[in-house]
Amino acid sequence: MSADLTKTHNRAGFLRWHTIRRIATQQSRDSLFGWGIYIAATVSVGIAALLIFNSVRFVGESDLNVISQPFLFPLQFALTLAMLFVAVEATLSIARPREQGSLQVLFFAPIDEPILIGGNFITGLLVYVFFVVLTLPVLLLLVWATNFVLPTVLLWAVIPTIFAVAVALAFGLFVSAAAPSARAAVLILVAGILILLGLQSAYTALLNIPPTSRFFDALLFIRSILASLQSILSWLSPIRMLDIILTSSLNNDWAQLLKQIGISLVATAVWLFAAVRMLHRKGVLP
Amino acid sequence: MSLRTLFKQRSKWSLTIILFILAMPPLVFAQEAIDRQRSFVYGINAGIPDAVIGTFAPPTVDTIYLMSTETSIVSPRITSIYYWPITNDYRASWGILNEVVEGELEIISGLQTVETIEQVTYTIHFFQGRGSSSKPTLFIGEEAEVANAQFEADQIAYRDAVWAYEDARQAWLDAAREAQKKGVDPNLFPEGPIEPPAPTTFSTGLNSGFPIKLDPGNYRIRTRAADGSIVPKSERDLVVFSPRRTAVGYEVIPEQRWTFPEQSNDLEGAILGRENSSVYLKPFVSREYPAVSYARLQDPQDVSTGQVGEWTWVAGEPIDNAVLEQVNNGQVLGQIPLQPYTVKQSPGGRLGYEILEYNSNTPFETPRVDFVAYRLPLESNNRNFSVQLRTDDETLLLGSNRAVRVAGNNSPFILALISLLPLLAGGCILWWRQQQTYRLKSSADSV
Repeated sequence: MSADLTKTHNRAGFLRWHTIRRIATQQSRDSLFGWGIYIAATVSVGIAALLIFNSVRFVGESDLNVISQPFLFPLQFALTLAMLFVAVEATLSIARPREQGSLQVLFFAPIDEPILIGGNFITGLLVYVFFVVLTLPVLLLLVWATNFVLPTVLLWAVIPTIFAVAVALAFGLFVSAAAPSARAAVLILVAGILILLGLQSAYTALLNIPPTSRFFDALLFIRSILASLQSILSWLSPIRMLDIILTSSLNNDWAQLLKQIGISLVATAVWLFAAVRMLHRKGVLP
Repeated sequence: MSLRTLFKQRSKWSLTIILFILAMPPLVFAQEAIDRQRSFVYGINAGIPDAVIGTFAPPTVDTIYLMSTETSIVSPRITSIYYWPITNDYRASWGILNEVVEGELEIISGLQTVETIEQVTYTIHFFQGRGSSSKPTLFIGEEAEVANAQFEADQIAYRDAVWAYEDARQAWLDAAREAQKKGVDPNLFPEGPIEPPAPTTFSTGLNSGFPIKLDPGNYRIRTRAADGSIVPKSERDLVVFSPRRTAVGYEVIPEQRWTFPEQSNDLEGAILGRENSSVYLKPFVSREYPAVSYARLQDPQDVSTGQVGEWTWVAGEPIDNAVLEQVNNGQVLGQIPLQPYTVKQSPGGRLGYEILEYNSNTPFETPRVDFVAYRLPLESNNRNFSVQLRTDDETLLLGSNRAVRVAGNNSPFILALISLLPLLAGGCILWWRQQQTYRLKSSADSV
């Protein structure tokens, strides 16, 4: 009796996984055969090329450029753009079909909320992997052409960035499930990104502003606040997570890397759960 | 009796009161400017790899930062402290009050006392010069007394030698004057006395404190007096930290602006140079510390650093017992020795420098040593290599490897073309997809 029950359970699990895979395959094919991903990849490689060009050109002007973390910024920029691209796609993945009414039709099939969220989540991961596969050889070509330095460890560091992307995807799906329309979903995502990026950039900018004097610092309070927010951002902001993962990999700081991966997994699980609950609450009707 | 009469009768007292009133404001102001307080503080001699940093922690400092790799001394004292608004910190008047607080130091981790330290005698000897040989030495307990006795004996011996030298010099001058009067040839004068060399060691003298060397971590410390009570204001947090990474850093000196060197500390860092130029490398031991901890070890009252989670590389002892190797794909291309160099400024209106290898046989051409470094040529036929340091005993110095590149193509046109490749790939995929769709459609139509 219990063996039969386990068998049925396994069969149901297999069917659910099969449906998730079908959704993921179909959605990622749609992305692959659209211009969006190629335009985003071209922009990210273009900006990376600009950053590399800037470093190489500086040598021409000053004879010397001592770079502490070579290729980190170009790669970080390219991966951030990839992450934002898949996050935007995830944000539209539920809100848009719901707005168009096609989500209701989809739910006539044996699909429930976890399957839909899971399918779209895996789609995002696959699209990110494709984005990386598309851009990395071009970045290597840029490195070869400019005789720039690419630390091998940075290539390996690309692998754990998928955990930061997973958080961005899960958050995007939550926003998509919660927003009343596709436009509202994108607006919420953009606002969220701007706030998180603003906090991170403000902190980085403040680090580069020296204190008012050796003994007094007019910006001390703001510095302290932003410094405290950085630890919160490591839980909330996928962009900050990406930064920590790449930097700790480059510095061979494995403890920090593992800690950040753990944080990312927890954050992903929380956002995915919230997305499922939100979709269940909001329903499939516009 | 009128006021005038009273004033005349009590003129002595009146004058005293007037003088007192006139003197009042400055007295009051003086009290406001320096409001001294008798307070418990910890005097700190924080050991770092190549120095000892002397600071103190007034009651406003709730956390003391020390390094795990070196022994530090924490001394409980009662002293007179005052707030100095110009530098926004508290200062100690050790000259006015410096009272040793007897007792033992309890170090607590979590809820458990992990160590109880007795106060011991210590002394620190500082040496002139830079390098591993000039690292200050900390002597504790009996060793401190022996070292201090030796130091004092050396001082007395030097003083005696100076007196003897002064006497001998005076006698020599008298003899010289006498000989001059007699018309003796100056070449026949005996050699004058030689001045004794000044001592190169300086000492803090004998003091007492708690020697601390702990594993990295967060602790709490407090001083327990002889009667078993906790000394008020003696409870503080203690953060013991260690370097995250130790490596070899390089001071990179470009040929044309040798007065503005740059530093390469990061292990994954790279040196990018122009074709057919040279750079000069000066290696040193470099350690990476938590930025906040290191800043507050240097100055416990520093509050300006809010960079929690940031790390900072700190340059340490110079390395002068190694050769620089140029390496490509695991093969050593060549070895470069450490050499002294002389810098010559280009004469006339032409600005710039010429760096020449120092040669003592050409004093006119190379009159002095300006710096000692490894000269690294960046040539067009060797654009891609790394450098590493090998010591005299053939040991490869870990963390000394750096990538060196001669900057390549920087044509914006080529870089822009490369950047368009993803779009080209997309175009190809979409074209292929379109062809597939047409084929399927036409085959479906034919059916």
